Amino acid sequence: MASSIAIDIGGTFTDVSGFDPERGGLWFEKTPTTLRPDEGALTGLGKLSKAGFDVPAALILKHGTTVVINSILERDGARTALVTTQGFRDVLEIGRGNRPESFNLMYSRDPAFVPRELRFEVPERMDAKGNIAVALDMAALERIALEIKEAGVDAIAVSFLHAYRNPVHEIAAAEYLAKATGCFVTASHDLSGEYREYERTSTAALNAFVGPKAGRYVERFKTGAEAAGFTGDLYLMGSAGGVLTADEASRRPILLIESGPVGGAAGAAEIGKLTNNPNVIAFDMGGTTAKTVMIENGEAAVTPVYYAAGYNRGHPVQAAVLDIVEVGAGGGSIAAVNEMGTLSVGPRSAGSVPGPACYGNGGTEATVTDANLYLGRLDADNFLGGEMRLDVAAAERAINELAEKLGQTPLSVALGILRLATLTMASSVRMATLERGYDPSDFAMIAYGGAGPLHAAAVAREMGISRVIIPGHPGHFCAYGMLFADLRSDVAETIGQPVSKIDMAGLTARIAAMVETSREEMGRAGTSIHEVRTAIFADMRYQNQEHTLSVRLPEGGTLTDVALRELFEEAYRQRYGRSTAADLAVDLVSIRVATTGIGPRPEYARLNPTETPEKPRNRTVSFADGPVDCAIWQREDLRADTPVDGPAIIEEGASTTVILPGDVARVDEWGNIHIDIARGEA
Amino acid sequence: MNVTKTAAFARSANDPITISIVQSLMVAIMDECEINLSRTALSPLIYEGKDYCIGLLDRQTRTIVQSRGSVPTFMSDLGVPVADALELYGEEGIHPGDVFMMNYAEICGQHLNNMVLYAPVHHEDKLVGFIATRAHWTDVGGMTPGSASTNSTEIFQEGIQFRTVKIYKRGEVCPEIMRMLRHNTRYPELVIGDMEAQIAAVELGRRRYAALIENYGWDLISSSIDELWTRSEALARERIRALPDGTYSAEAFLDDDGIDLETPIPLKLRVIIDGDSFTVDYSDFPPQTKGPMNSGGNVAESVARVAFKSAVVPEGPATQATFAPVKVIIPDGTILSAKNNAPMSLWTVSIKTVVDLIYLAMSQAMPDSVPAAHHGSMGVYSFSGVNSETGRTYSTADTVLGGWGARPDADGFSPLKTVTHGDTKQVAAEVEEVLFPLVVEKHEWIPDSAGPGEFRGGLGLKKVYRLPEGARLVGAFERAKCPPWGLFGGGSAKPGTIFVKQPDEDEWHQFQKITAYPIKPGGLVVLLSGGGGGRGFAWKRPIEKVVADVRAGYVSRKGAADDYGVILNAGSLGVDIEATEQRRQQMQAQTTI
Repeated sequence: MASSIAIDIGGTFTDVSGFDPERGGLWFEKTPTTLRPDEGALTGLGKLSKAGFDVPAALILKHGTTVVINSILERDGARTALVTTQGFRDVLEIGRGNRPESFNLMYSRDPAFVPRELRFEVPERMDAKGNIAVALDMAALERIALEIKEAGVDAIAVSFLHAYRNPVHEIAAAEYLAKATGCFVTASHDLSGEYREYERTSTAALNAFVGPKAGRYVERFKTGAEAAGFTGDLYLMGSAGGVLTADEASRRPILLIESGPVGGAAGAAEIGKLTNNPNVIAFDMGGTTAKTVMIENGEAAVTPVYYAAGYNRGHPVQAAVLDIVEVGAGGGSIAAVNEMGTLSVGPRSAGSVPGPACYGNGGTEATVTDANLYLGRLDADNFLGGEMRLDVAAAERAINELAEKLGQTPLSVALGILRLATLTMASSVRMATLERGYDPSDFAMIAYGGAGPLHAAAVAREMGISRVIIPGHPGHFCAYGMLFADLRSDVAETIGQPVSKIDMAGLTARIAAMVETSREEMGRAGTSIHEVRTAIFADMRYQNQEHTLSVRLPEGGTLTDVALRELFEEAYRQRYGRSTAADLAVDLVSIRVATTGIGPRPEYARLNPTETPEKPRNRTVSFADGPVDCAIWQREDLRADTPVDGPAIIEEGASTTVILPGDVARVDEWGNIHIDIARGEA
Repeated sequence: MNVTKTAAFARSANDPITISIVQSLMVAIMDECEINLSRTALSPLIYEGKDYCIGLLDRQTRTIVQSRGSVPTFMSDLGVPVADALELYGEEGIHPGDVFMMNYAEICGQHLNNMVLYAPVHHEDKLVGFIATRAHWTDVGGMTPGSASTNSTEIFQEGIQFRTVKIYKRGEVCPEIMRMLRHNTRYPELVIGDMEAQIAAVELGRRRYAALIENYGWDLISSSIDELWTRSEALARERIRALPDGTYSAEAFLDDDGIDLETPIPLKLRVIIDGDSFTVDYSDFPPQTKGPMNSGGNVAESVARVAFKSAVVPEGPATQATFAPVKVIIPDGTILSAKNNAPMSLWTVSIKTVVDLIYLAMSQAMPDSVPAAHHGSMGVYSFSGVNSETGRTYSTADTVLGGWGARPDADGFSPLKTVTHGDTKQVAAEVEEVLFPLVVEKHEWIPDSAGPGEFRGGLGLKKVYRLPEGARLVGAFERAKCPPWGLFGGGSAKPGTIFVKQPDEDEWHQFQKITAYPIKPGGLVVLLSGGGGGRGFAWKRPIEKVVADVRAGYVSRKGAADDYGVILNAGSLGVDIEATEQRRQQMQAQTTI
């Protein structure tokens, strides 16, 4: 079986993982992130080689990158022009007119990525059914091309009304503009097959804005990887949970917007399958935020609209993006006395500089990490595998100061900080599950990230989740998970008709064509793909509803309107516990086809259960009922099936797992820690 | 580590940590209810427009917490309609499993589309609170589709009223009420679907809140609520004490009442800051109008609360106690305290101006906390007719986006809905064209529509509709005669208006308020929204900012010269320095006279 590599370049660290079945399994390396991507690839692969991994023999290299999200957050991208249907050049700035901060009189949205003087209108028009109402005015387009060239633009987005229905005008305009200007050109229908002109235009504008930069990045990364001896297929981690080819990533870089976290979700899905939990909640907590992603039947949830830089002020991306619910609760979240004189935690974060007070880098405010240290849950001498010593006295000072302000004991303040952080994290789980209509108590939670295992048990209790699983290497889990990510493409087409009025033979043929095109594309994607799978989904709703339910359709055979309606109503009942008493038609809003190309993936080694376990150390750790003498285990000392009764702490290189009083943990044959969560409050 | 065995984490009723925890848990319940409502509602006004609120009330109907997405004006008097159940039934007549509906105008004081659905919460057989939701229903009958009109003269023309009716009794639905409802609306599927979504949301909230009480014990929950209130009130009073005492007056007027289009309606109020109390005195408000510009119930108080909260205590939860220092003085029978079955269809058109007017008064006491006036027109518009493709009647409903007033340190933002809207989105043009027989031809900024100033207002927008099959138009655009004003020398903005052109005519007809106006097939409707007022003298605006606005087309060359005193060289964006200096000196001299 073939070997593979994954490189996850984050803001601070680059994680590299390798899998080689013949040479004995998994490799993990960490190296500081450098500015140049080719250097990053070279150093990362160099470290892997040095550790004994055969880089030239690897067939696949998967790469997760923050280049796209950073380019947007820092507003550092191409000088971009926008070409729209006549009458709609302002759509990018007009948006939808909502004010998410309803008591904020000074509210404003972040500025558009294309200034008004670079937004152009061309006479053309499709009607809502996709018929040409006004022909594309090529002479006007010629004049626009000249103006664009004069303006020194690097990238162009083309977005026409109803192009999701009939893209011929967009295609013609994009082809002409690319030829006439030499710019990076993107057309809205190529990114989103669905209606809503603002969201689709914003997606195209963002794609153009990051396009040239992302293209150069991919090119350089490839050069670096080749210089390090890699000769196989290069893929980038796409936001929908699968990987994209380098060409696809350069053409539609906006699909890389959540490129990093996708690895974690893919890994969580894999751990779920391995442990017979096809439905899991992936919970990732780091220094500044906690992220939750739902995984159902081994597939991570994706959202049809994602907001770059946040819902309140950011810009929409109407494309399949991993449905990550992110809240401002991380190890660095600052605890403070708010205007009401009560305690609040976050959303302000001490970040990595100065970081929590206990980092000793000048931070003085108490953070979640300081509370963990104060309560004995973290070991000052054993943080990040002993790479960084924590300053206990500094944490105490910060907590004491807060305690004085609040007139409470420091212990109750430290416990309160964790409790409030838990509630914020629980809200991300709540949104990720309930908003999609799932009951969290039906799921197991897989927790990773540097701080995930510290808090997972408490969050699980809050949400009524009865099982938490801590995979191996939780601190490197995103790079690890990437090894499991499949090649994936998502296409969607808007149908927008009541099921009773749809020509079912036509629809069946349309779906068949979508499937065939996707399979063909996948077939060209790389030599390492050995199996292609497709899943077809129908997004339906009751007439007049907005939110759709996505129902998986059976493959093959001709669809009937009765069958579609039944599938929908069954799913609706399951999701909302009722169907409606009103006599309503069911609309088929769109059809989605998700195509997956399966390549080689790692296999798990089993632990040897026969050895006798080491004895744990002990130290004082505080929980809700006060300080107790608590068992401290080293993870590598645990053997399969040995029960660990809470309270207990399990320490390992880059992470610490907390087992709360009343909970029981057990290591499975692959080394995952399973925690059975008791009912009640953490 | 310095940890002693005695210092365990004891919960006490009033410690500042427990309060935060209990509050987070209660907000979480409201958010869960909101998710449930918006995902199952059938009408775009709810799922897309988010025209609703959900709140947790105590047994005396005082607000404890609300969901994050709740519309501010819906929330701040939610207790009033619920209190009617206590009045009519007493606590002993309110049973577990009951669900009430309520839109009775004499008490609610709003147009009849706003239906309140609520469920009592019981703990150990005692009433401990209510979960309540108010949402805008698409149609409740009355003389026009959508129940909104600009020329009704009594509430009965605006639809059916339900006064504190139990739609569920002890968990059993009341089929008679359902039948009655079904046959008193033009769109029974939509309305019943939305009602079911509201009922499911309050039911969920009831179960969750009861479980929370079960978990923590009623003593802890109730004393945490008391403490939360004590602290909210203390914060609000502290903020008021920081403001200079005084009586601050402001005047403006509404265009007309929808019936008599010639007579403006003067509005005059006083904000009185006295120690730690904040009073809005509406004593000089005009009598209730013949047309539907009225509101009643506790709307006068609700409006004062929205203005107070967003300007004085924008952070923190909006609880009953936040509003404890807020008082209103208002006689019965005014435009904001209408009685005796007064029409209220356009209640929300009036209150935007009232909120702006309170800010205008407050700008004297707290100049750095309020913006200049915003477009302030509900700018509601609706097309209705029969869709030739489906053969069914349809009606659209949306409101315009416009400019907001200049901020103390920045230009006004545009576009947004109004100050009493929250996270409310305008329906996308492509979605409208798919759903209804209409075409959106244009949606763009109107140059020079913002109030000029050192900081200018946000711009108004032009939206053009073509109606290939014709339609009937309802529209209500305010502030034409009293356009959105500026502050501290800033200019006022261009107001919004409606233009209609029939296919067989050349001239445009202009309207501010219009009901059921027939548009012939192929007719055009142009909606202009207002801009926001400016702040500070326009001649103080840096020249490069004016040039940038001209480059972007937000300000015309003529506007740059006339409004800002910036004279550009013909054919370029170069500034004629001499002419500009001269013109600006002239402007300055005029303003200092």
